[in-house]
Order: sequence, then C-alpha cells, then structure tokens
Amino acid sequence: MKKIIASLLLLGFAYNATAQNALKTPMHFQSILQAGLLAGKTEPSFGVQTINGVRWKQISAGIGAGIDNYVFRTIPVFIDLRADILKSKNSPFVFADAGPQFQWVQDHQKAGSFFNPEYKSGFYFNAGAGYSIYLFKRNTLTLSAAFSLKKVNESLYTYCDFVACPEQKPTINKYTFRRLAVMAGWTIW
Amino acid sequence: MRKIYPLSFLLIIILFAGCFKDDCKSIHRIYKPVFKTLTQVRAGIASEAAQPVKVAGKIYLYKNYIFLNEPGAGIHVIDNSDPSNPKNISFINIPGNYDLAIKGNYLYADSYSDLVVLNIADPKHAVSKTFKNNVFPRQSYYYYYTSTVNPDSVLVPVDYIMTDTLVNCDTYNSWIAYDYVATPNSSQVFTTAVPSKGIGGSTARFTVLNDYLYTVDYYALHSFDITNASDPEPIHDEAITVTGGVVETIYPSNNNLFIGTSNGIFIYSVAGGGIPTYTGQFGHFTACDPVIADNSNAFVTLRSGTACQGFNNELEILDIATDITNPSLIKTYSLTNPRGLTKDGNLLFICDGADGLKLYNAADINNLSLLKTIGGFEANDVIAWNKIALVTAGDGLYQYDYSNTNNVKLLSKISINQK
Repeated sequence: MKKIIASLLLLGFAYNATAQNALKTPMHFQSILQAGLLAGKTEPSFGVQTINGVRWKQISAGIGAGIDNYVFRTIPVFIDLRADILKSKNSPFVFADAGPQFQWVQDHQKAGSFFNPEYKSGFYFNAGAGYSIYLFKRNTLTLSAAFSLKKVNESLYTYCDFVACPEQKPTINKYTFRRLAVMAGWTIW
Repeated sequence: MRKIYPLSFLLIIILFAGCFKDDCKSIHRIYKPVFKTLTQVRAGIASEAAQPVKVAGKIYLYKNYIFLNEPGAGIHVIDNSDPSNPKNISFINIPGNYDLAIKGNYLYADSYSDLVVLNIADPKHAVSKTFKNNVFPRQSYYYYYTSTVNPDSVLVPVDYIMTDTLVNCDTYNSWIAYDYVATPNSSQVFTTAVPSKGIGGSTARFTVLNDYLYTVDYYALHSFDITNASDPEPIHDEAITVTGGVVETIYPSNNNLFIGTSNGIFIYSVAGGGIPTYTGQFGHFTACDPVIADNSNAFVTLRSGTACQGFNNELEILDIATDITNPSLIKTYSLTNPRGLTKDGNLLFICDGADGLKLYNAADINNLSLLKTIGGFEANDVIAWNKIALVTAGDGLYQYDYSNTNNVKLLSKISINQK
C-alpha cells in the first residue's frame, strides 16, 4: 500500500515536464499536489492528495488519490472536476471530487481489545471552492475549502478465543464523516 | 472585486459550518427471548438423535466413546470403537453447556450456572439424574433476574426471535440495556481433564480426581464430593477464590490440581481428604495458558492474542519435583500460537494454532526435538491415548495413529458443519 501511495505522489512531479510541453496546445496536462487539515466533530486530521489530469481553458478534469487520516485512515481514489471562474492569472475556482476509498486503518484507530474489527470503506465526496494565486511560469498556489464526506463501515466481532465460538453476527457501525477540508496546494499546468 | 471573492469564500464556510458533523448508525441484531420454565427445560436434557457437529468444543474420552462438547448446546456422543470410522451416535441436549467430566457411569456437565448429572451407563441414551441449582453463580443466567431457584418459577430463554435494527451509535449503550442476552461468551467455554477411567483435554475446566469433582470458573475453584456419584455435594459453602487473573484451565496430576490463570500457574494439593489447599504458584506474563503436569515437570503454553493479551507465544517447562511450593522455570521454547497440549510418555503434543499439531520428543526437556508437524488445520486441543491422538480443530475432530512417530497416520476426521 505504501508503495502505491508513493508512486501516486511521485506521478504528480513526473508529469511536470509533460505539462510544460503541453501548454502549447489548448488542452494540456495539469498536476496538483495539496495537503491540509480535515476538521469535523472529531479531532482534526491531516490529509494529502495528488490529482493529475488535463486542463482545457478554465476547466480541468483528473484522477486523484490521497491519504485521509480522519478517524479511520483511508485512501480515497476519485475523479476530480474543477473550473476557474475568471480568466485572469489569479482566480477563484470551484471543484468537486467523487469516488471510492480503500481502508488502511491504523491499529490505534481500531475498536477496543474485546473486538475483532473489520473495516470496509465506502463512498468519498469532496466539493468546495478556492482561490489560485499565480506564482511563476505555470506554477500556481491554490488555497481551498471544501465540504468533504467519507463513509466507513466497521464490523465488530466479539473476540472469542479459548475454544471455537458459536457462530456470531457482527455489530456493524456505519460511519459517515462530514468534514471541512482546508487545503493548500501547488499546481503545475 | 478581488477582495470580494475571499470574503465570499469565508462566508460560505461559515454558512455551511453546521453541515460538518460525524454520524454513526449501528446495525444490531435484537434477540427477543422465548421462555420456558426451568422444569420444562430440564425435562429436555436427554439424549436425542445424532446431530452434525457445528463447533468442536471440549473433548472427553471415556471407554470407547468420545464426548464432544458443542459450545452452549450440549454434547455429541461418538462411538469410537473403530477410530478409523467413528460414529456420531447421539446428542445430549444440555443448554448452556461448555464443560464436562465423567466418573463411572455418570457425566457431570454445566448448564449455565447449574451442575447436571447424567447417567451414561448406555451412552446413547443418557438420562438426567440430578440438578444442582446455581452452583456456578458467576455463570448465572436465568437466576439473575429472579430471587428464587425453584425450577417451576425460574424462566429460561430457550429461543429467540431475531430482528435487525438500525440505531444511532451514540444511543446504543443506553438503549441496549435489558431486552436481552445472546452474545456468545467465549470465557464460559471450558472442560475436563484426567480421571482414572477417562481423559479430558488440557483446556478443561472440569476434572475428576478420586472421589471429587473440581471445576473452575473465572476466579474460583469449586469442589464437589462425588462419593455418591449421582449426587454431588459441594465441599465448601463458597468456592475458593484464585487470585491470579482470569482462571482458564484445571489439570489433575497425582494429588495436585494445576490451575492455569492469565497471570500464572497455581497449584493446590488435594491430599487432605480432597479439600484443595494452596501449595504454590509460578507467575508469568499475561497470556492464555493451558497447563499439564507429570511427576517432575509442568508444561505451560503461553499464547498471545486479543483476548489473551500479552505478547508471548511459547512453551514453558517448570521444575515441580525439587520444590512444588516454588516451581522454577527450566526452559522456554518459542512457538507460533500454542493452545492445548498433552503428553504420552516422552512424546509431547502441542496444538500450535494455524501451524497445526506438533509432536516433540521430550525425553530431554532441555532439548526438545520436533518430530513431526501435522498442518492443514488450526488445532485447539489434543488428547493422546493408546497411540491415538484426538485433535479438536477449527474444522473438525481429527484422529491420528502415532504408534510409529515416523509415520503418523490420519485415521479419521469428523468435519464440522456450520450450516
């Protein structure tokens, strides 16, 4: 799993050169690397994402992946759509992400010692607005805030050890987390 | 204009602040109990037609029969006259049963917090003889909500109407309170050990020694005089409290009882008229720990795991010959996730979790040599008798012929059928 994430993050940088060449055409490559805070009712957590795709005029579309450590660590993989509102170098923008996510729950995030928990991650959705600030050449700083939703199902099996147990049905907790995602990012286009 | 956009952006965050919340819905199975009186329930404690084994619990070998506990439900009776072709001949229906021991023609079993005595002169047609009310109060079930032990008045939930319900996780703890029960409780799962004419496994919690039945529950040792085998009498008004963490197993050797607890081994002598007297102990790291013993040594397996806590997976061999009041550690051997164990002469059998059954030459306890690993199943407990090893595993009951340790042969397997 760690290798996959590292590969996805590096992918964003690898596309830099491609993006520079692509700028000569109306449709060109765009890579975003962003990180920030996920704040909700529970303790705030760190999140990081990379989104790679194509940009056409003020509109872009891409595929993203990241690490979302809010309550249960998950790996969202999503489609990202975004649009600049102005044609100027500095512009507000809106965006929306949606897709599945994969569980990568840390031990300390799992249910207590009397349970044998299993996790299944579900839908991930993120939508918000931001402001992009031109830095130099085709490099932009982006600041954004979004409504971010993720769903996780937790199945709790009562731990049964000494001899095999009677068949049991787990308690299933269906979590829905609605957070504010505040991100700062670096965009190459 | 440029200043308006960041301000709008902040305004949106403030407006939507109420949307940022977490919620959790929990799916629970509600069990609505169906009751019978205890008298009605006891009328049903008897032999029935053979049933498929769903879960292999504790085992007890008596004459040509294997008594295999079905946790919480009763005991399968298996005619083992031909170990290569065991026959499941009947099922003794005993609600809330996890443990058993046998003396002569009488089988002692727990039924929740009651002790049940059955006549098994004809093992296929067991007949209940005696019921001792609430003698294991820590396993209390139907007495918990009543002030009487009159079996005509005590109501027992015998079945459940099940429905799945979605509730808020936050409200669950207060909501669940009393409509009841039915979480299988692993720590009530226990059995027996080595009487003169029968053999139990090392994970036993019932055992017969001479004219006494000894049982353990979470924190206590119970003793019963079974001189009159059909009518056990508690020796003490109250059980002996064992202060060594959670009590797990009991094993008789000579005139001593070896009690495995989560924090150590406790030894009680029963030389004085069957009444247990504390003799000694050996502490270890917190772990699950079946124990067996011979004249010179005690063999303890320590196992880690969620319920067992701890981090050790090993066999400890203790010296009990030099000073049984103060057992000392001789040697430790690393294992994978050991459970039950047994010894036949110099052969030591250890159920090592997913590794299966391991067979050691234990002639030199300072240098155990692994003779054979029989894998392919998750072994829980083992009885070795007459060159046949009975192994309970996650997928059934296995029997192996170990008369030639270079060529251990599978004689038979009774598969479990969970459907």
